[in-house]
This record gives sequence, structure tokens and C-alpha cells, in this order.
Amino acid sequence: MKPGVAIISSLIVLFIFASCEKETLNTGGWAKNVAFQKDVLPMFQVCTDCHGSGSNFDLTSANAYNSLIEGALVNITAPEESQLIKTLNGSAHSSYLNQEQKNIILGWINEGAKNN
Amino acid sequence: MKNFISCLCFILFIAPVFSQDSIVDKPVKNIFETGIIFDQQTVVAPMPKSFELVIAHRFGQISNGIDEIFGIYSTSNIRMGLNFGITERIMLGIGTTRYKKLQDLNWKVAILRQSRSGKMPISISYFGNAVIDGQEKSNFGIEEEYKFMHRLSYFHQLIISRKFRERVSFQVAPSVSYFNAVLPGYENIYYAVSAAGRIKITESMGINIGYDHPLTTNEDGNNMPSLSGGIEIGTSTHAFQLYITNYENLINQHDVAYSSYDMSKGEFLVGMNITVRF
Repeated sequence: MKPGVAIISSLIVLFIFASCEKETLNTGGWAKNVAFQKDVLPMFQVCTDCHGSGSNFDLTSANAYNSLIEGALVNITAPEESQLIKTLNGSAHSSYLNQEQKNIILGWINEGAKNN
Repeated sequence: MKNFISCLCFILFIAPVFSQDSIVDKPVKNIFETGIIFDQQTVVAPMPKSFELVIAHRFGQISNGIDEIFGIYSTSNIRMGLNFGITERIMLGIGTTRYKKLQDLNWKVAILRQSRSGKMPISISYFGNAVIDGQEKSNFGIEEEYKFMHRLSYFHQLIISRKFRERVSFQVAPSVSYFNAVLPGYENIYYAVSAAGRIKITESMGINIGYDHPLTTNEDGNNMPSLSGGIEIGTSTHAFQLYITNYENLINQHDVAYSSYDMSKGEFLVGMNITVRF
């Protein structure tokens, strides 16, 4: 068998065996008793480089709450359908917040998305 | 003497006729300018024993306006890849992508090649990849249940293409994507179909157009089809593509499963691909 064919065949067999997993990840439960100012707002510090004052979506301390509510980014009746969560799970933003942080945000939305 | 002259005549006049047949039966060249068109693969692969550097860049949304120079100042994605032609028919490549820190190993095998005589009217190639998602463990559900296998995804595609005359090429490519582990609301297996075409307007410049359609949709239908269009300039060693598209991920299976920009809402991004052959 020619070397190139052997390499490709081996890789294909290897990855067929490695693809035997089929799972839906357990993302854990949403947080409870979440306070926006104490628990949610500090997370947005990593966002303000791009979403700072004067940007099209301001997540600085003074404006973050209004941006989220007026931008219709939170869905109180279906928190997982919130555009904020979809954006955080999207490719461009998925590395910024981890699952635990997203669960805090989900808990906050579930509890009414108050500015508390 | 007569035999000698007959042999000489045969060599000079008859043999080239057979030689012409074998030249005509050689594969059609340059069905596309390069091995990549937008985020799609083409049937083109590097020459045997030669390398190809591929840099793909995707800027932010054009709708971000003049403040962000229509997406050029926005968050952007980039993939750098290196391909090697093992033989005339087999390519092996590696790459790294910024979004989700995706590391890919990919391969392309030419199964059929369109011949100049028309005996073989189409080219068919198989493209596959295996990709590791390099994000932190916390992106794969609760850490107590994390396994390395959760990071892996795969893509397999048959690319069927044809060059019509010298200036028009077209391909269609069905695919299957597989993710070992997904978040709730997403699927493990995605089927999709892509199409792309090129029209050469000069010897070195062409217009490219492409469409990708996921046949499998997420629970809330947030994985979108894509429309792409742009120009391409090629030389003997370089190919440069500048285009707009609504796909952002650069890696095929992530495009199919996770791309949420909606072309019907004008959510397009500027992209460019550079291929260097050496």
C-alpha cells in the first residue's frame, strides 16, 4: 500500500473510533438569589474593551442594565432563549464567560432580570 | 531500408497521434483557482511534494457602520493552515482558528478527475477533518463530567465539480458533520449541502459565488444558511479572495452548526482568504 494511502486510511480509522461518543452536555443548574450589581455586572468587565462607552452596545457599569433591557437581550419567560445567552454561546463570544457564569446570568434572567 | 523508413515514418507521424490522445486525457487544470472558496473546500489540492499556506480572515459585521469601518475594527476570526500534497491525489493539512481555539487536521483525496477529452466529465474529491475545540474545560458542561472526547468534532464531504469551458466552474458538495458532545439545543449530527461557482473575467481575476444550506436545524432554528460572493485574483504562486458572507467560523462543521448571522437581515461580514503556494 502506498504511504500516502496508508496515512489517510489510518487517520480515517482512528477518527472513526474516536467519534464513538454522542452526548448532550450537562450544563448544571441555574444559579439562585442572583443580584445584578454584585453577581452579574462584574462579569461584563471582560466585555468593555469592545462594548465600552459610546459603542453600539455599552456594557459599562453605568449603562449595562439599560443596554440589556432596552436591547431586548433578555427573555424572562424563556431565559435560555435570551439573545444574550445565544450570543454568549456563539462562536465569537463563547470564550469570554464560562458555563458557571452563564448559569448565574440564566438564574438572574429567570428571577426577573431585576436591577438589584 | 524500407523497414527503417517505415519505422521512422511511424515514429514521426503516427506515434504523435497516440501521444495526443494521452495528453487530452490528462486532468483538467485549475477547475478553481485554489483549494478553498469562502469557507468551502474545492477539488483543487497542492502539487505533489509541495506546501500551501492558507490564511482565512473574517471581520465583524458590515452593519457595525463607519465607526468600526464596516466590521474591520470589530472582533474578527482568523485561521492559519498549512497543506501538503502527499501525492497527486492526496493532501494532508493542519490549521488553527482563533474562535474557540479550534485545531484541525484535514485531508483531501481526489477520487475522480475531470479529463480534458471529456471522457470523465466531472471531478469528485473527498474532504475530511477532525477538529479539537481548545477552549477551557468549563465550556464543556459541568467540570465533573468533562472528558477530552467532548472537544472533538468531524466533517466529511464529497465535492463534485465541473469546469464548463475555460472560464466557468461549478461545484456541489453534500456533507455530514459530527460533534461528540453538544450543548442542549444543538445536534450531534448535521447534514448540509453547499454549492459554489466561479466565473473568470480575465486570466487572473474571477467572480466567486457560494451558498451553504444546513439540512439539519437546531431546536430554535438558529443555524443559518449562508450566501457568499466576492472577487478572486490569482497568480502562479498566490491566490487572493475578498468577499462578503454571513458565515463566521471558518471551520466547516462549526459553520453548519453554530452560524447564526441571518442573511435575510443583512447580517454580512467581510472576509478574505490568501493562499500561497511554495
